[in-house]
Amino acid sequence: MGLHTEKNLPVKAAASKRAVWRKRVRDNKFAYMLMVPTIIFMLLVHLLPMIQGFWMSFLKLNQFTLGKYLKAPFVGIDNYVGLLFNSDNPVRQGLNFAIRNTAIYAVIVTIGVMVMGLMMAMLLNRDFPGRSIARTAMLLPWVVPSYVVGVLWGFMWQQNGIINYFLVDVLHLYAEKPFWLLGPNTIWAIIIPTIWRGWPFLMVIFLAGLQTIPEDIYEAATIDGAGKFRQFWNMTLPMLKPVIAVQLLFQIINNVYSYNIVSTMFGNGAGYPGEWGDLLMTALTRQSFGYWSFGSGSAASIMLMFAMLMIVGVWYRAFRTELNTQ
Amino acid sequence: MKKTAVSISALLMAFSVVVSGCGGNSNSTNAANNGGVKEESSATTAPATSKAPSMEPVTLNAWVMPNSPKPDADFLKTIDPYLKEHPNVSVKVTVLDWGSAWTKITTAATSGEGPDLLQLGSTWVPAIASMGGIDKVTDKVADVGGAEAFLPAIWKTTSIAGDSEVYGVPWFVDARAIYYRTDVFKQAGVDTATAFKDWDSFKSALQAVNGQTVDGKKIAALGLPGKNDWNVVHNIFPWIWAAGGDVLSEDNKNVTFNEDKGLDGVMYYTGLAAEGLVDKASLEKNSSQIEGDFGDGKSAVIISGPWLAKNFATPKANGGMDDKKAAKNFAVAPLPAGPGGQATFVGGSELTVFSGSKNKEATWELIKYLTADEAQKAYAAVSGQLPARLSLLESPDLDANMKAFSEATKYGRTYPAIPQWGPTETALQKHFANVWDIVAGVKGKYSRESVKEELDSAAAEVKAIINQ
Amino acid sequence: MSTHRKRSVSSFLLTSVTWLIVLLTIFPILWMVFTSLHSNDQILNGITTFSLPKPQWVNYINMWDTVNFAVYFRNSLLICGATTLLAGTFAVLAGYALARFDFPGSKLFSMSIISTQLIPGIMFLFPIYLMFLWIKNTFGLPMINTYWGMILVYTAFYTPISIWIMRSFFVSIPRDLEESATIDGCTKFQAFYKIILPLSLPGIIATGIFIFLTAWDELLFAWVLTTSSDVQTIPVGIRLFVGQYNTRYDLLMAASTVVTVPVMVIFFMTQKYFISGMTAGAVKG
Repeated sequence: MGLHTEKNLPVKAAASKRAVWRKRVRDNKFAYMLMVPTIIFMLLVHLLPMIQGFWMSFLKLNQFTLGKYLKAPFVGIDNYVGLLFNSDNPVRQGLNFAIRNTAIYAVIVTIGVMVMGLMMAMLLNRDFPGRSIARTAMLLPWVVPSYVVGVLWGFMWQQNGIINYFLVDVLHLYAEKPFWLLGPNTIWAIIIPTIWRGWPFLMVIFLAGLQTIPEDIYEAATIDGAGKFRQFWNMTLPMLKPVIAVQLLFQIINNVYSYNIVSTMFGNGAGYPGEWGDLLMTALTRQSFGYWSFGSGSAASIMLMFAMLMIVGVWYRAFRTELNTQ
Repeated sequence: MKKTAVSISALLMAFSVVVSGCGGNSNSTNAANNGGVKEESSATTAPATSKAPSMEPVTLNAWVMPNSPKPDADFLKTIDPYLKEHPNVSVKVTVLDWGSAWTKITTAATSGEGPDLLQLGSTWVPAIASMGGIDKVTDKVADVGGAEAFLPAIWKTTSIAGDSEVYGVPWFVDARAIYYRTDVFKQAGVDTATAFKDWDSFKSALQAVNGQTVDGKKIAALGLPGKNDWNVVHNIFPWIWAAGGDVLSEDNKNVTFNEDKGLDGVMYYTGLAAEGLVDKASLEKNSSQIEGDFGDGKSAVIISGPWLAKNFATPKANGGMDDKKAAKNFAVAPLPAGPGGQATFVGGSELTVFSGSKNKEATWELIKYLTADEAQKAYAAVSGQLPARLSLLESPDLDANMKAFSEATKYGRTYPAIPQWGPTETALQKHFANVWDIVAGVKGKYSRESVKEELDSAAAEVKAIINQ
Repeated sequence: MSTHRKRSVSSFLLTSVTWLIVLLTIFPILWMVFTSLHSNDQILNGITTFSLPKPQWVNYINMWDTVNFAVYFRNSLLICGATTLLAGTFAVLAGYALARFDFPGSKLFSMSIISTQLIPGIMFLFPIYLMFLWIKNTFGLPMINTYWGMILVYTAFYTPISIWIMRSFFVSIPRDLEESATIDGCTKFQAFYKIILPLSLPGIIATGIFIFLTAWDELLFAWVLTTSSDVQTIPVGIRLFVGQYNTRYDLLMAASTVVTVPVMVIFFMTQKYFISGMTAGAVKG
């Protein structure tokens, strides 16, 4: 309807639209008041630094110019060009593996925590002896700080560590004790602890989601002869879709920006996690501070941000209906 | 006159401590309300001496790294006599860990917001100096004895290459030498007098001790950390130097470590691991774990610094290894000479005056104290590091182990003192880590060609860094 | 009869699987505690046995004076506690506004909440550091190495996502509650304060726990924005057990245990609210 009137009476419609808008602003004074503190904080600690970071990406910022900060020599889009087209660019060289690893890591961890979380939520949604103890115990990994997780699992992954003891000495899965902290296995050494620490949270969320699904629809489905799998696929999953949508996005963001576990597992912030352990955040930190190329580092961050924006765009298109039904 | 002023202020301070103890609001003193921060102030004790040049009360902020078992307490204990003598000075210590120190010092240097006294790793001095983060002390170094008083290798790192300005005073020295198990060498019938002479004798000695049975367990000849270590670069360069290679060309404009000689060195060192003289499990360990392995009798030889000897003298309850068999059966030997002679890595730390400091004079006085004989000796004792002063390094009081390390410093080498060394080391660490992946067999096949390829890409990256 | 048995067998199997996963899940935590009772050289050598003849309880004593751990602990509690209060309050206010009012700009604001999550933290590090410095030089108010500086940064970081959680929680509370209250003569604020807030207690606690745990975990900014142990937090202090020349993994593991336990206690005390808070909030996404 709006479209129609607007076409016919553009001037009047625009005027009344503005009036409506003004009225809406006036009516929502209370809402704006509630928002004020948040907005101030976000301007101060998000918008302002972001503008600076954006500006930094156009500057030649190395150890000699760092003292001038925002007045450092302006180099236009050189930093971006260097990252995108110059294969000798040291920053870019450092990022190649990180991009691949982060992609693998983010996808596997995201799927891992969601599948594990959902599975455990369904197991814990049944009635069985000791259920509340089990629920609490399952949540504990989430409470362990990630910088502890990195160190702890670092010990467990050692070649003569406890994990290889289980895999080789107890279960005989490998003929020889494999390296987990060297070579391609490194990526598993960081993925698995991340999933371990991440899925309990998802479990709570899914558990919460499951509890809102009424029992009787399952009973009805059972009477209709639908199997367990069919029930899960046709009823449980669709009911959980809004939850899944939101958590999916937050998980992707979290995992792409993952830093703590990797940095504490390898060299305590000073080491190089290796070609299969380096993630975007460890690489960017190294490029910015280790190489003192803050300009290129910012440019890389900005590009990463735009890439993430695109992912959010895809996500929004995929889940638009679920997000708007509430 | 001055005396009364001090005692009045001491009285006031003591009073305010009492007041704040009762929950009163006290802004006049920091000492009272910063709780657990270890702050050694002698202002409240007897204001007996007034030798100090200035009696204005100053609080100096010092940033040090964890150099000793109890980093802040040990540091304060070392300067305790100084503080007693200078009641107006109090020192607040903050310990930075090596992992985050670089980031933190960079931001501090950029902003001028930081400590007064700053400990810097010897390889970091040129970089931070070029940023303007630390002050020149060129015209003051005569106070501490000047260049002649300190180990030349470490003194070299107090200035930027090609520049005569001095930016710091050496505090302690860390050199690498060989630790070996005397009992195992004896059991294998290896003559320790000749074993560490050159690369050939070293390798045959390792081959002889490899697989010896000690206490029912087979011992690996050599323990060495691979890529997951903070010493990756320091571990490899001695071998490159011994082979006759170098990091950069004489004028610091070209990269040379990937040339034939450098490659020889890397191949010899990594070859020891590839030829089965090293337990491959050690390739994913760090220096501490390798030292633990040596203590535990898993390896007969390792390359480490003077702190390990101290660790062998420290009781188990304090984290030491004095109960181990190795603690009673080890000796220190120099690194074997390669085709290019003998070489080892000499690092250590320097004390610098932070350029943003407001108490530069007092800071310099403290540096003078810390780099003088008494404090040098005291700190070397608690930290297990070598003193940086030649007179102490050559002193007959050193025990046998320390003497061996003091010997090692004579052929010690350091990296080029260029401002870009920080980034360069970051790049080298990355590529050398890849070399260890190759050795461990998880990244292609180990061969001269594959290692060369990795060194070449390291060289390309370093070249880009030094030419920027 | 046979279906009944089949069902009980499969139920038994599922229960066993559940418990097996529970065991696997808590194993690393138990392992951490177990490791912390070993001596340094035992840890360095790798532990692969489950027997422990002489537990090193002394680690739990030594960890407090080797590194000044109590101070870091206090700082973390203070900073994270204050952040939780502040960010929690903001999230409740803004979350309520977003859930109940369709005001001009609400869409934009929701979008900007998500956008804030997309900025890599490392890009912020330098600007925030220098902005803090500028504040000090211009207004004479020190920000770097202060409690409020850290609290400000953490609050700003964790408010957006907390708003998101709180908003979903408020959406789940029926609108008629406030409507009837307004008819009874309550102002909008009174309706919010007297009716909605008490009802949202589980959601608020859940959000609070979430904020606290996230702040407790922060590493990068804690490294750079604090310069002395007066304000440094646990992630900064705990690293001092690992030096270049001497490492104390025994104390590191003891400290890790000590760091984890109080959070677990808080968690246990509040987890009932936490789960029910999440239950109400999660459904609507």
